Amino acid sequence: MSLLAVLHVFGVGGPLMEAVPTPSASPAPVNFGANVIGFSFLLSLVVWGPALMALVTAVVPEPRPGQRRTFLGIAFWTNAAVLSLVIIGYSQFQAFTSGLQFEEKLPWLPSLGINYHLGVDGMGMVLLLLSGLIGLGATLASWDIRERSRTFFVMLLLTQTAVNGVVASRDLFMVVLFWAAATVPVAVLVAGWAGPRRSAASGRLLAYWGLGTAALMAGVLVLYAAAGSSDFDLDRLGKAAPSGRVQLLIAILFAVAALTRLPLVPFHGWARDVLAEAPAGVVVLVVGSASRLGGYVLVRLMAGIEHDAAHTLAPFLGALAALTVLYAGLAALSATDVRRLAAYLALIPGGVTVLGVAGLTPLSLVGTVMLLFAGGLAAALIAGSAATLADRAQARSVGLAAGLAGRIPKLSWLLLLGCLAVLGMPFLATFASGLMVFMGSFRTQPGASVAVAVGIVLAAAAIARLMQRVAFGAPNPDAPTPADASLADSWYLGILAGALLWVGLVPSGPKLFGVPLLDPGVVNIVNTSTADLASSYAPTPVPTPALSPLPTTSPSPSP
Amino acid sequence: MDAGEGCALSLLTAVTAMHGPAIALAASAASAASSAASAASSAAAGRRGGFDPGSTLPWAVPLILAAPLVGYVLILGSVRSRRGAANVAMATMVVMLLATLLVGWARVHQSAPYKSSYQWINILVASTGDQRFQGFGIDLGFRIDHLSLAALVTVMAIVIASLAWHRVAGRGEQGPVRYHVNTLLFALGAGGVLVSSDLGELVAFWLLTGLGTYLLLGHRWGTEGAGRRGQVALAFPFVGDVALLCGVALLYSRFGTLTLDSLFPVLTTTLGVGLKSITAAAVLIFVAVAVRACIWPFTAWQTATVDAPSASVALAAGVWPVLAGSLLLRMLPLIGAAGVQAPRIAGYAVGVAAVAGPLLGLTGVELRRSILLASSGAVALTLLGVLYPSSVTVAFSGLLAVAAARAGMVLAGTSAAGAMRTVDMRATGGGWQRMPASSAALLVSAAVIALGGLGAAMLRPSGPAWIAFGAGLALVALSVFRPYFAVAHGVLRRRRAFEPERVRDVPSSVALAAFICQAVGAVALVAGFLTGWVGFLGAGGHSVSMGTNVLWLIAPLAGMAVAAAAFGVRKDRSLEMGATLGDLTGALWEQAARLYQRLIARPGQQVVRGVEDVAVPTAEAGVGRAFSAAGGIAGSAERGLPWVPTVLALAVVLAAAFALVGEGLAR
Amino acid sequence: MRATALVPEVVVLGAALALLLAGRKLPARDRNWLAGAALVAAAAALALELWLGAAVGTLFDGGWQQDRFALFAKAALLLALIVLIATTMSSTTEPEARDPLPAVFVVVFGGMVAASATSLLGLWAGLEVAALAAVAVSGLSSREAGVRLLVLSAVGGALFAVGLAVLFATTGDASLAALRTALGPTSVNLALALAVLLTLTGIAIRLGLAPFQWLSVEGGLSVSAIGAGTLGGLLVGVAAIVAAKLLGGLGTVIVAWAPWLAVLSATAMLLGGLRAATAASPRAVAAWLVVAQVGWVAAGLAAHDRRGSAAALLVLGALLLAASAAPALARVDVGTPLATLRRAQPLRALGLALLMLSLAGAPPLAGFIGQFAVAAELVRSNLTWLLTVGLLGSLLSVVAAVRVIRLLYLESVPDQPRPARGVRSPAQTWSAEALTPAVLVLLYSLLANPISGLALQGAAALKLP
Repeated sequence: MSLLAVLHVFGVGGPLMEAVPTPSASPAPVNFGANVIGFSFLLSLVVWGPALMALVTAVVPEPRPGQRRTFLGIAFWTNAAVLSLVIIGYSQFQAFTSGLQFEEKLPWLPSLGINYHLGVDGMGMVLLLLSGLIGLGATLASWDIRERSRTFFVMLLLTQTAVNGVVASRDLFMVVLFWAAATVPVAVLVAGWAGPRRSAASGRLLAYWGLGTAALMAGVLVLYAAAGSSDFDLDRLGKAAPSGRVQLLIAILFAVAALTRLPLVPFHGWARDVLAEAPAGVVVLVVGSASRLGGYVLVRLMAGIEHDAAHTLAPFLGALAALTVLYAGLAALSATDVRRLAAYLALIPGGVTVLGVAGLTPLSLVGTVMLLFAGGLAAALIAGSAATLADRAQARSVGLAAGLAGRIPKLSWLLLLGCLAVLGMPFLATFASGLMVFMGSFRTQPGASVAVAVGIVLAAAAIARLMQRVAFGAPNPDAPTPADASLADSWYLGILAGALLWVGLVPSGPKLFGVPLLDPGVVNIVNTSTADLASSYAPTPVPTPALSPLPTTSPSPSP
Repeated sequence: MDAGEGCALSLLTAVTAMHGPAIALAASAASAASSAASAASSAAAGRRGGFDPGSTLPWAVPLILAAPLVGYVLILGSVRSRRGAANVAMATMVVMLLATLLVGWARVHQSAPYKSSYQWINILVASTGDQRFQGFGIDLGFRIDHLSLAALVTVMAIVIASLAWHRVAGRGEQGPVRYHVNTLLFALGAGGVLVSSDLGELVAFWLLTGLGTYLLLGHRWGTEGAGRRGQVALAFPFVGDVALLCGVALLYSRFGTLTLDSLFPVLTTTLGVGLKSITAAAVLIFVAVAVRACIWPFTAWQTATVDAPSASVALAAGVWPVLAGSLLLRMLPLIGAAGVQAPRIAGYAVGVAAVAGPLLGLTGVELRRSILLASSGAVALTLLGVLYPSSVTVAFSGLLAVAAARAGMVLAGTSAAGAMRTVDMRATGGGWQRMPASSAALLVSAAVIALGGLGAAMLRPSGPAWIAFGAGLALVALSVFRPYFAVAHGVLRRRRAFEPERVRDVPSSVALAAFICQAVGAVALVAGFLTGWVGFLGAGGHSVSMGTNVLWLIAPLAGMAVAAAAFGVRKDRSLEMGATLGDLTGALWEQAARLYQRLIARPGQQVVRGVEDVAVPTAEAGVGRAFSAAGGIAGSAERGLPWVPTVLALAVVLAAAFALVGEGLAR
Repeated sequence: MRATALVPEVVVLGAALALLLAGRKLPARDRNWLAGAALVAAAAALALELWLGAAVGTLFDGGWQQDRFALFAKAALLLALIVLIATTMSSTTEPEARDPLPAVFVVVFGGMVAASATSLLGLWAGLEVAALAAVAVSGLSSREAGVRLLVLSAVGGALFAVGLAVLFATTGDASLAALRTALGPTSVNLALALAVLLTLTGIAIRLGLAPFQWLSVEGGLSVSAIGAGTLGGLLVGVAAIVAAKLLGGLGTVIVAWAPWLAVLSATAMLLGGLRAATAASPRAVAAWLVVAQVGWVAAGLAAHDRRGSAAALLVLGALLLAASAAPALARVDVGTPLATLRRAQPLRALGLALLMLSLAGAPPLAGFIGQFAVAAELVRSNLTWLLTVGLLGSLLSVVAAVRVIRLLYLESVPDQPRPARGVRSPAQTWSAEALTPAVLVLLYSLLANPISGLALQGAAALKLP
């Protein structure tokens, strides 16, 4: 389909399309990519560029022994180019309009009501930025992959395409297609390069993500049938108003799809093994961007389309979020394996994200979308740094990999930074977003919010334990000699940490005398997309009698 | 007048006194106020020879926070030597102090707070619905009144003193660059908490200070003890931090604003917000105050980390009470609006803490722990005073005094303990002979701490509050003079590998560092009794006239006398008794820890193991087995069956069955 | 309509005869180019079909009809024929692969006859010719298997014939048009329902629709790659064409056959996925994935409307491409791990992986697009239970496909010396022929728009509601 898109751009696609008799009238192609910057297929490049380079990687001749990093080089430069494109798009993004930007729309399967429709609003733009950062980080984190590196980087690039595709697609068929397309390459990456439990990890991932894919596909199809629509266009299906029961069914299916990806308890079976066994690059990619798609589907499809059902499901989602954060904190407290402990902690941003969706207030939804970005970076930083630390320390048990702060300070500090990001420490991106989620959710989900806060306290205890043992405690004389982060490790963790700090310090973008510089500000970009969505959840004033005046007498507070 | 009545009314007085101007003035009015202020100061400038300190406010106020940030980045980015880091940190703190003094000079005649703010986040989240929730913003706001100026100066004095002390006494400490970076982070957070005018901003700086505290208390690496200290220093007080976050979130969810000046006026006039919500928010925020002020029963995060670098302990012990007291002071309108429950809960809590803390301080013989526990009672007494608007200002001044003296006493005590090579008070002594400066510092600190709550007690309303004040003052004096007598008096005995004759006093710079704190403490304590100072702080309440309620002096004096009798005359026996009590409490703590392990930790781990290692794998394996078994059965059945007969049988059976169904349906 | 529309059929039949004669008359050393000639003939037939077949009309007083359905069906069959020949070319130097070529052409010819048939007789003749030829192809590589398959196919033929006879007796006319008009809703009775179901069972046996999958699976596994490709690919295609045309005429008896077909398709999707996920050899996995995808074709037909049948045709096209080639690409020498393909024949490994994923319905390949279209129609037709089963089956199928990919790419390869240039093991294929089906599968998804448009017009030609 990208071929057709590109052909169409160059004026060749049209005749090819029209040459074929199509019974249903194909939607009139809009001005291809009519938007703010010059070239009109930015999103197609961002989505299909990695796939194209994956094909190139698959067919280039075997490099000479001296050039073992050829495939890494291809993947790195591809991701660097994609990130540059995304940054161009981000910096050019119109922060004052709520419509789609960089839109591309072409008929693809008109007879089936399927269009090649790409476009991003603020939410999509920020997630594309996340995906670009994570993609580059994942490639750098895979610096030491030497065994079957061709296959590895092909799969890495294909996953990148799938992730970008889900975010950029405006046709639900394409959403399902890319969503499902991420499953196989990630499963292969885990099955091929993970630790001793790779087989179980890959099988679990396939099963859970497959279940989620089936749920998403079923949800989309039920929505399509209920809307009586002739196509799968999100803009059209988004306006459908199915009956209450059908809405609920659709929302439940979307929620199942989302919760298997994020993941949330009890759909977290795959996460522990994958995050604890897979190589750092795969961990960063999976937890940083691929799993954030769950939250994206929850906001975009469940909260964005099925308003009534979202209200019905909100308490359950809030309970699941609370359960996840509490459970993750408890599990992290009792874990003795550094990577597994980090894997549990990496579940927490997902839980807080879902709390924001359950909150269903404008502020909580803005916070949720920001947290998709910040939580992805935080989870990637903690899981990635733990994986790298375990590799460099040649030990995974907190008993063996102990007292490393003095010997490998760089990795220890980066691990601490990841931990703090998970806790939502100030001036990291997770703080502002977490604050918005909490403040937004306290109104509608006070119980769940308090439970999540308690879970975060448990997580803090687990983090304190982790840092005590691994970083600041007494070194284990029997442990092998650790090595600090390599240049590639420092770069990939640095990119994640830098992004967290940048957005944490200037969420609205840097300004000179009130004039924005370079970065329009993640929070402003996010807000362009959520303002419309959130308005349907705006709280209405409660007409209750005014509070009685202050009591003029009160007992003494003294004992 | 009934005590409760007095409390509630005086709380309202406090609201008006503190925030009356703020309520009256909108943002524009505030700028008008500040411009009026600058006009006034420029008028004064004429007399002062042309320099107008008011004109410096636009850059001097941000400089209070910018200085530590720049110093932080400077040290982190370029400095590698211990001396360099110490110099940059000290210079940064001096700049911060000078900026504060400059602001103080500009605002000395202005009772209205100086306000300025810079947008950090400002978005329109919805275009419909309740107007309060259509927008969201967090400002980097500065709200500087005389109280915050006094608090800032005290905090900076403590930080400067600790840096000066560490420069010499902490020369051998590991990671000097790291230490100074963390100190600046701590100072940045503390400054932010004191000047912030937005609750979101306040939470941010509060958490940042907590992070700095964690890094400072967990500074020493490489030993189990150090690791455990870090664990306690992060996890335990985080409970209070999250309580503050929840309290603020609850307030926003009800009132839709985070700015103090716009929140307080609507506390009692917002439709649909009941006392329950306000009380819950007030209690949550008070929990944060109690935990970070480190009053009983939340003293563990400081008493369990006494092995950290002494300067870090002094910072945590001295600065946090000021921050917590400042937060409590700002939240008085909220507590007042919460009606009966919140003041009562807060009053009971600090009252109990004022008695329990020093009582526990009498147990055990660990020098620094005793100092911290004893002074926690004094902190609680001053917080109790802050709750009574008749004594708001005096108590806050007392709080500043106690905080500074507390830090000084920790520094002086650890200096003496370092020279005497022990922290066991049974083995210390002879301070006046061998370490007169440190002994004097201990004496002054003890006196300031013992008298810290006196002003508040003298202004207490009639009623049962005297129990807390009286008992608290006596117990604080008793327990805080215990370490003084243990170190300064008695005989310093010879021990294995320790020769008392070799004990010399600390260098003058180290002693000076402790004296800085005591001087600030003493000044704040005495100033609390001066009408001018009370008027200057302007938080309400009235000044203490020395003629009235002078009988209150009996309580601390009695405490001192008992201390002198017990620890001056019968030192060894008393300390042995304290050691026995300490062992008893230690045993009780161990029992409690065992119960925690048995009733909470272990069951929790079992739940996780049950889910992760049993339930989830069993469920997954069950599903997997079901599918593979189904596939296997289908395969074996298929292989075992003869093709043709099976096909024929299936064809006929299926056709017949569905034909019957179809036929039935058709009819 | 002019008789030139018959040229593709003539080319196919002529090629079969020519190959037969050449195989017998030419000396052994001159027979290696026969496969190439067969490929050219198939390509020519496809080109002619796309050119001449675009004209719609009838011949022989309406006894032969060329419509969009016929165009789609014939093009798909001819494309599958090209794929089958291309993927087995390298092994056509062996008699077992070369001698069956004429019969393979006959299978396609039978399918073309059925696609253009307007009467029960034409459908019967086309299916029987194709089935006999397919059994013959299999019998050439393994006589024992051939005999068993012959008997099994005969059972299917008998059931089909009996059913058709009853239908003919009921309506008194063999034409599908008459069938459509004569069978009113009131005429449905037990005997007619039984007859219809027996007819469809006869087709299901050739279609390999579970639980009648012995012919395509067990048979396919016990014969040569070309035989398996013919049974599991071409014959399945012919049977599906016959089923689609016949169901178009049996709309009024839908109460009898719709639930039967839905249950069988559910069984196929689930059983295929289950067995594929637990199968041992890659060829077995491929065979069971075909069964699962046949279930999707049947599910589309069970919806019994224009869009459902169009979706079924879309899946059928993808199925034919993958099923014809998979057995040839999946075969490895005995005792050789599949992973050796990765090193010895990387393109073949890539092709096999893509075919497996397409058969499993993994995106963005041809199989996924067809299955998604069928799924959409199932929801429209309130067959959500069938969709649920189908999604479960697809999930299992993807697991099976990933297992094969894992064997291909992630298992360690024993260090074997690379075969010398020009020396090929019997299982080795040329890169071009290994890549042909993969490229076609990718093109199928890229050009899904024209293909689905044609499928929809084809379904419309079946006079479905």
